[in-house]
Amino acid sequence: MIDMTLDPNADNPAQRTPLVQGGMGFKDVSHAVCDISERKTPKIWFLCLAAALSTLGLLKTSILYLIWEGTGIWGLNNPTYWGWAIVNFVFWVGIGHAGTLISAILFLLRQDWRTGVNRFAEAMTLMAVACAGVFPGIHIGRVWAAYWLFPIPNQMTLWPNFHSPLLWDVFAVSTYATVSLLFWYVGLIPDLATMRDRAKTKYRKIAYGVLSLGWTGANKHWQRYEKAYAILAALATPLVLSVHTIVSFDFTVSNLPGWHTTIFPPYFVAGAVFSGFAMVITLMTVVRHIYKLENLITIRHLENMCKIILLTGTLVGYAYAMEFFIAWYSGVEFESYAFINRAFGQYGWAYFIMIGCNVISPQFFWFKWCRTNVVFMFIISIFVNIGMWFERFVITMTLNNDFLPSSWDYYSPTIWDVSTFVGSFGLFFTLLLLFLRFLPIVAISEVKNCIPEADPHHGDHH
Amino acid sequence: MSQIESNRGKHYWRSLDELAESPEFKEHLEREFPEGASELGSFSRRGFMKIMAASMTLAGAGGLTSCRRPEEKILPYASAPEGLIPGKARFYASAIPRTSGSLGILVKSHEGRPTKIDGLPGHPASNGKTDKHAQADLLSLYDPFRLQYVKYVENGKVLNGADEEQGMTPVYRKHIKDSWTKLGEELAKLDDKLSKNKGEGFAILSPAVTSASEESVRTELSKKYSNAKFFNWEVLNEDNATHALKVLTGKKANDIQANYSLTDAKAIVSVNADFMMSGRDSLRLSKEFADARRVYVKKGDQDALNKTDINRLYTVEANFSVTGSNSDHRYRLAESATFEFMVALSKELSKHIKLDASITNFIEGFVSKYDFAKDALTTSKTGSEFISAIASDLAALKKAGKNSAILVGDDQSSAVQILGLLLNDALGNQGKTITFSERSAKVSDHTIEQLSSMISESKIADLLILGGNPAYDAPADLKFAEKIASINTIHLTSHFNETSIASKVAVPKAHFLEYWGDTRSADGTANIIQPLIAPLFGAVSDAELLAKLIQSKQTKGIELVKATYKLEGPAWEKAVHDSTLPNTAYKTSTVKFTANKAIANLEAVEVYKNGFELVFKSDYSLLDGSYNNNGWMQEFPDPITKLTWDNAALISYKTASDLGVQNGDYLNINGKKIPSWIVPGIADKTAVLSLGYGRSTTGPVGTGTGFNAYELRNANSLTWTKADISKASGNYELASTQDHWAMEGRELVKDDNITDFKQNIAIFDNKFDPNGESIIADRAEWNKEGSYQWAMVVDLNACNGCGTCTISCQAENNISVVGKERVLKGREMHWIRMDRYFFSGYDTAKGAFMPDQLRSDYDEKDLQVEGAYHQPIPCMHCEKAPCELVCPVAATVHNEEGLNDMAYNRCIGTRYCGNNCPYKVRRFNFFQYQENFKDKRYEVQKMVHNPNVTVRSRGVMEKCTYCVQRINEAKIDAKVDNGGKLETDSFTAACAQSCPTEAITFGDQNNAESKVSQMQDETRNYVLLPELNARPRTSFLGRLKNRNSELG
Repeated sequence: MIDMTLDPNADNPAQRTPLVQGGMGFKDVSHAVCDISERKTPKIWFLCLAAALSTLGLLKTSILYLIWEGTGIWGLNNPTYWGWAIVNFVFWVGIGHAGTLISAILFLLRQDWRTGVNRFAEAMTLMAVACAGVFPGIHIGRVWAAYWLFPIPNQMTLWPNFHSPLLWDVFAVSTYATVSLLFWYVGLIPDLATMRDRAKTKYRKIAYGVLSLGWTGANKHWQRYEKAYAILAALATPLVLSVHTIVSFDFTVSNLPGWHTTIFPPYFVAGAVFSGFAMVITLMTVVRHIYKLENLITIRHLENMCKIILLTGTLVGYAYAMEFFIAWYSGVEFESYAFINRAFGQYGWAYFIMIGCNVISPQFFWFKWCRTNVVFMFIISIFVNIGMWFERFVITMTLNNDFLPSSWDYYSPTIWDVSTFVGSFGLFFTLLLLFLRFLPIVAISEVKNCIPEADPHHGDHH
Repeated sequence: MSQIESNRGKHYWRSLDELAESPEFKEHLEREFPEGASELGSFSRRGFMKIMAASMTLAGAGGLTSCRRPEEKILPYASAPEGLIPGKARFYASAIPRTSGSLGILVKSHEGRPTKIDGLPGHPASNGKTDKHAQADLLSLYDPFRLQYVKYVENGKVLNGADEEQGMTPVYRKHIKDSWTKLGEELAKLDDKLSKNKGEGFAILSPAVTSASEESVRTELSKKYSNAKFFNWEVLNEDNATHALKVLTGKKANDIQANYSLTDAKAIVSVNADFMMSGRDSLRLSKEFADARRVYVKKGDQDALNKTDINRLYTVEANFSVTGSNSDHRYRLAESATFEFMVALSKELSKHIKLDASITNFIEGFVSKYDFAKDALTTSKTGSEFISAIASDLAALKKAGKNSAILVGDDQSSAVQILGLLLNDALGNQGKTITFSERSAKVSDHTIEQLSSMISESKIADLLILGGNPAYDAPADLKFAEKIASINTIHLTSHFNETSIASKVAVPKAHFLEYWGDTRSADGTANIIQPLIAPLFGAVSDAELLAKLIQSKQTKGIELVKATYKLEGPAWEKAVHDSTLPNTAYKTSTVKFTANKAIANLEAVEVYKNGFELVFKSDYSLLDGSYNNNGWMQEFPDPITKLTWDNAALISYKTASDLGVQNGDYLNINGKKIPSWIVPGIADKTAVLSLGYGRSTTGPVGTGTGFNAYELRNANSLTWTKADISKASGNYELASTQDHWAMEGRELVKDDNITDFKQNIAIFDNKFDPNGESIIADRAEWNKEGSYQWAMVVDLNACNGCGTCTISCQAENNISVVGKERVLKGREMHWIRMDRYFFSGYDTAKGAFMPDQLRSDYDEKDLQVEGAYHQPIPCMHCEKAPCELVCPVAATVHNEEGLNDMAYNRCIGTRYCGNNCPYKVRRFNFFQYQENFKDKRYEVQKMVHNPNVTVRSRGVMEKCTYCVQRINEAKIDAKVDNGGKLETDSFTAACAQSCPTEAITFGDQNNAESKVSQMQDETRNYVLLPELNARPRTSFLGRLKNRNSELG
């Protein structure tokens, strides 16, 4: 017989800790999640929203000024035609990876622990993709012609160039955003219905009523819901891999030394998962503390994510090493130079920030204490976030030193580069705060499935 | 139903309702539209008016009535000039007057506005080529900050100021007219006074004169004002050379000048001469130099290769000049030691050839403070070994009956000039590489120093300054600005400058594209200058102003020229058409030198050693400062330093580390703060400062650029001065377009020594070719039958890095000037740039020069920098262009003639193409660079644009198009004139057209006859970065050196 002690630190796979702790029942779960949006809005929320909105205002100002003056307000120059805008784009797209990975891949792999964090992670994905989506549009020289990137039939029979990775990007990111949104929304329906059912005010009743699409919890509904969810999960799974693969093509398909490497697609995907999970931990540790969700988002959840960070961080470290090895092994002088310069050239400091944050800091997660200490993992996750931004920065800055030394130059960002990046956090946190306030931040129905009572055979006598 | 029954006979009906004639159906028939469609009901006229009035008001209130396209007035050619086809450019021959030898030009004009200046084919000085200043003169024409009306000045304040910012309003036009009327009155008053006192106290200060018509007016003036005096001043003069010739030959200054020819010179010694870039006839000399180095040998033709014999250039200089960078052996030597070098060279030569006894005596008695034996030239050679190697080389040539040439820079002291002339004479170069003739640029005997002291002595009351800017550029110790402010000074000037503000009257001087005149080339050939446009703001030429002053009967330039050359009717028309007057060149002769008369000059030389010195050089962009307000010139990267928008104190690496400064750190040079810039290969303990910057009164383009060298330049130290140099506090940001010195060991510029090349021609082969096929065979792959396939070849052996191509391209293709701030960010726009890499000595073991020796340990390497490679980089027009692949909107695509086209309209500015271009030739419009033109004042500058080339907007990528507009124009012309078939090499790209040394060849590679396809067959042909397999259409011919084996 299995010993069912509720030890959150039990490491024996045969004796896994339950995913919902504190002896919560169905009603407790619903209450714990729904109450967040039902109770009176705390003042601190308004303060946070005000801060987030003003940062969003910074983004808006930066973009308006950009459109007014031109991309020259950024630090771009002749060899370095891409700067922070692209760095930020890849950074945000990468963060957007965790959600779909948790919901889709872990769903298909029947990893039940995903239920505690998937809603939040998916929402974060959408917010990150929204932030990412800002950049490709505004970084081009003629913003008003951005729609030419789409294959819109026109009288001049002009068509986009399907050879260009940037065009693949357009499709990859927009598909990813669409599927992620659908997936997230489908998962939300039963919970929205719960919110509707619990709603006390007229507006809440209408709003959640409309959003829950007439969900009644009927058997038929559940049946279709499960089917749709599984199909979407299957659709989303390849997208998790494809979107960052294609983002990496922006670099690899070009012929620049330091960009033109075959390792990029897997390395980018690993890096994206890495950064995505780091961002989930960053936010989750705070949210679960504030909203007292420790019983739903348990240490086991967090520890599992730390393990993924350890895995992907090590993968990324391997990729960094491999890049150097291949640069040397290929004997291509441009490539060798690009990598030596990457580490010891003008941006060497950025390279070592990247190594320190991405390769060294996750190694702490070999230790159980590190994986289970919330404050510690929060700190590490911040490091990883910083490191992953720098990874993209380091890669992009390879542009500075390519084939002809005559063209070499140094890129330094301007105040507008910084304000646009900081502003994008405003967008992210605005969306996050709205989500925290108005939507169920934990997948209620799915978590309930993980409670022992949900087992049809629960309480059966053997 | 009763109705159905009542109808009989054949009846067609559409519905049962009709059949029954139901009231509903009747109504349906009456109504035009179905129910609900015509419900407006009855409408009274009153109601209609109400509704209409309301609609109109609403439409108006919405602001739509005022929403219109900006109004632009166009004028139809109601009476078109004869033969003018709108859109079709016309070409006119003319000449650029210069005291260093005027340049015959062919000016392109679109609907009456000049849009491009190119060389006049067959002209002795230009030979169809130009230098970059000739190109930039076009922009100067449309400079809105030229002096626009006669300004009257009192104590540095303009009395008749006007609001120039509003552009050509009627009020402003009247203002301009009034200012000229007043000038007429003033001149009449002055003439009145001068006629009475025979020109007592009247002086004219001007540069040398090259115009016969002006000379005739001057003669007339001298007759009328017999006491008037003429003075001479210009910064870049030949006074020292003239003085040397006067001493050696006893002739008058205007009767003699030395003319060099490098065609037959097998060895050339350039003593601070920089003959490729400055001095008289530099265009012709650089062409002759390049021609004598051309090695065109088809693959496998070893015989022809063995027969080739190219010249050898030795350079001795303190500065790192363009000429120096192209030399086979370069000796960096303090400017102050130049005379000692010449003596040492004479001494060595006297071992081989006979020199005049007086000279030999002088040499023997001369004690040099400079120890050439201890001066390390490279790690293994010393200065004296260099000198003896040159001497034996020169002597051996003489023995073999061949010629050499010793060229001495114009700014060198007359003692150095004397030794140069005597050595040339002794080497038997007279009549071969050096000849003598009458002087083309006539000078007056009086100098600015004399004028200055006469003003101090109150002997001058009225001064007319023709052009120039002496208040700024005269020797500082003359305090010339104060002098001219104390008397009645009239300044004829293109821009309101430091001299104008110190004068009483500033008169607008006409641009050479605006007036009738004439000018002489360096060899004396006369040219007619014809105007291509009426003066934009009203202006006169030198001759016209003088004629006006003396109230001559004839004050029109055209009449003056006609009268001077006695040309009328068809002869005049032909002269105007050709510009060049045939058979007007001076006769050349040989002269006899009396060396002993020069000894006093030689003995007077003071030897300076062991101190810092400051050397003044004419600026490659601004010359003496006359191009200060020209954006093209300000943004032109100096061929060696790659600096734009500023000058700086150029110092060697060793000097910099001794002084403890880095690039941009301020130096204190004789009390003036000037930023430093490290250039390897400059003589140690030397700072080189170019002239023309740091202007206090100039247009907005030149304002705030650089540092004024003239403040440190006194009458007795015009070339160099002893200097106290120390590190000063602070740092100044200098905008350079290329920070990197070395090629990092990459095979970008391929070169070889000619002797090694003769033994192994494979050095230029493409070692990356995966199939072992030659790149030439590969080219055929793209040559589709019956199509044109455009290609370019740049001969790096001919290219000297002057940068004319860059400016010619800028003029042709409407390339924006972006300003210092953006150059600092690396956003310069030049479509064809000049890459510069320094190289150190020749490695005999490796059989190659060592371009990457500069990476570390600069101290020692600095010593070894022997030259620089210059590599023009236009778009490569790759067959497999990496840029085309990555553009998401297909804005850059390949056309069937091999061009990599840019569709500006389609470009959305992702800049991906720029990233993926391995040659980094793409340029991005980060801002709306044409926005300047919104200012009314800039209206006029728009006229500089080539109408056949799109002016690019913000957010669009641009790059070299191989002058696609020229290609298409030629094809259209061929269609009209020649049944569609283009004649071989009937046109070329702008860069190739203006290249002074014909280093750039452009044409159809699918035509075996074309020059470009022959160049592609050359042994030295190679492409840049072949391993990327982009298959560039632009290829290069490797550079060759001709090393003296004695020097390794």
